[in-house]
Amino acid sequence: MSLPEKPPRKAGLLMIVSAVMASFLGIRRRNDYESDAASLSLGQVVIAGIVGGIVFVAGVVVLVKVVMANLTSGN
Amino acid sequence: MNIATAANGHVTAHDDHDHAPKGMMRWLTTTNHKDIGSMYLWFSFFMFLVGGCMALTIRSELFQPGLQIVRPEFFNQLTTLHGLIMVFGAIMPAFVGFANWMIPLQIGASDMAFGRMNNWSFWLLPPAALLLVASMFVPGGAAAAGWTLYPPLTIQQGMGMDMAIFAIHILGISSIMGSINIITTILNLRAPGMTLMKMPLFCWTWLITAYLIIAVMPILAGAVTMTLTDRHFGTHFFSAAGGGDPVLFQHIFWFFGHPEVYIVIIPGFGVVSQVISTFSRKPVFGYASMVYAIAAIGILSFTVWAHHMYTTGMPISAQLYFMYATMLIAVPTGVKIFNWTATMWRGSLSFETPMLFAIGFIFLFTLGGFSGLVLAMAAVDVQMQDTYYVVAHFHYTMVAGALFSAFAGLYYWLPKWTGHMYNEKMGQLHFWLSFVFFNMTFFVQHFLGIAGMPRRIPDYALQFTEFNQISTIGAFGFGLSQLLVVYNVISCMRSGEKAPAKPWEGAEGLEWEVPSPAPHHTWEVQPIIK
Ligand code: HEM
Ligand SMILES: [Cu+2]
Repeated sequence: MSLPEKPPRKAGLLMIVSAVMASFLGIRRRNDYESDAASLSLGQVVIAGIVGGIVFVAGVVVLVKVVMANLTSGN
Repeated sequence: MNIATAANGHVTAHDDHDHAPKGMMRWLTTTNHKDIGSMYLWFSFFMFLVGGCMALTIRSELFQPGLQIVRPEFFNQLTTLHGLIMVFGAIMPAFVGFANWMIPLQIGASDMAFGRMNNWSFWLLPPAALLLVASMFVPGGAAAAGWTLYPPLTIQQGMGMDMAIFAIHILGISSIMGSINIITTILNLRAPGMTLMKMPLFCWTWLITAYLIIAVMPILAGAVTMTLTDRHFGTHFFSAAGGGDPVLFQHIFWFFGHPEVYIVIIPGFGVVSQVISTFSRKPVFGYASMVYAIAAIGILSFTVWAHHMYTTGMPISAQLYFMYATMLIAVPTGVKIFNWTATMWRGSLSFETPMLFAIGFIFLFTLGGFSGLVLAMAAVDVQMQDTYYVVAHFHYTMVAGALFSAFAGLYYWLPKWTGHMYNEKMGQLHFWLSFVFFNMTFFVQHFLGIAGMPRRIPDYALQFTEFNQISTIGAFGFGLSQLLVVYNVISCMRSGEKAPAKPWEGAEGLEWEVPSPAPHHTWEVQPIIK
């Protein structure tokens, strides 16, 4: 690939989070991933992915809590 | 992706100069990734035929209601061994075989990282297979609790169960060592310039699969070891009589089991991506998205296991959790279907056998995904659990999914392995017969399941007869069609037309830059990727 070599920026938290969210959806724009590839380290991605997994589980649990609360208050 | 190699580093002329032993000793002692890859592939194909014979016996019994061919006890042994052999003896080793052959070629490495461990990984398989098959002939027969090995049955059965447990231990060790090898090879032995994000998708899918294997095989080993100590050493992990809990086993098993189904399918995603791209003459659409999505599946697949246990009994809130989570993680899987379709979109397509199997894969795997979503709904699943609907679902994902993708890979790389072309007409015939008979066998099982026919039972009520007969005839058609691929592979090796280094016009990647057949040693000097 003949892109001009940019000096790799250090990844900010926002960038890591957006990479993980993109992966859970399964969609990532080419430019975004190229900057991911340049600035994210494997370790960062793995840790962020596991944290993302925990957040995912917590999110679904909260959703269930909300639904259950509505179920039981409705009758 | 644009891979340009500088001066090719492979050696062709002075090929076999390591004074390797000849005959059987060559295969017993080999550390060469190509030899070992071939052994894996032959082994898995052989086990595919063994497991297939068991399936045909099952289908013969189910041709009519009533008991005709086998005793019920033996029927249960057949379903159990069929499942264990197909998952652990056929599909998983087949993809390890692909990995051994292709990963070093694709990343420009001269071999796998740990040659002797590689040899050991393979040679553990035959004893395990022997244990499983021999267990049919011991007092009490083979394990008969289903491939999921639920207690209390597993605690009550005879020594065939111990043999199955031992076999699972061995197979697990083999897969773990294979995975360590794959991970180390990919992370450490890539040619200069072959960054992770330039790797072919097949390597990526295996990298993630290998981590999954290392994460979950010990869990299965733990579950069966606890079963073993319950059987012989006075523990009561799973025995309610001693204060244990049989449901605990189900949780442990499925915490392994759901990631396991992804272990089975993810390398197939890699193969299909590459095949679709080659025969569409376009790079894979959304390469990065694919990598991200597969990595995400690797993590999220640990969070949905109890969708296999809705009828075991759990609070409504837990049912809701597993239902929502399961449906959400179907999203990254669904996105991949779009990626493959978009890869084909406006490509210049041609339909050689590998492409046919890949398209068949997309089509039928999607159906399997949809029936999975149906089963993911707790309210629906209480009707469908343990019926033929589930059998239909997982055969759409494992046969039309994993097996079809393995066939796609087989035809795709066969010229590289053997140096000869296979017979294209016969390959296409193999595809069409497999496609038609596969659907004949398994599509009707959706109806049987919805109508309430339970799985793992040798007899059934009269109203299920017609669909069962269709299914049995389809199964025999499918089984016989597989003789075509046996014949095609052997005649390809013996007398196929000579294959060029790159037999597929649209193919990209390092494996096509070495001659066909790939010489015994390749990339002794690593290529430089620009
Ligand atoms: C969209 C993705 C998928 C969803 C939503 C899904 C969902 C489910 C659910 C809910 C069940 C439990 C059914 C029951 O026992 O009542 C199930 C069973 C099963 N699935 Fe899937 N599945 C998906 C993909 C796959 C894939 C890719 C494979 C393998 C390659 C697979 C293999 C299996 C197997 C082997 C079983 C049955 C296990 C047994 O009870 O023996 N599934 N699936
Ligand atoms: Cu599952």
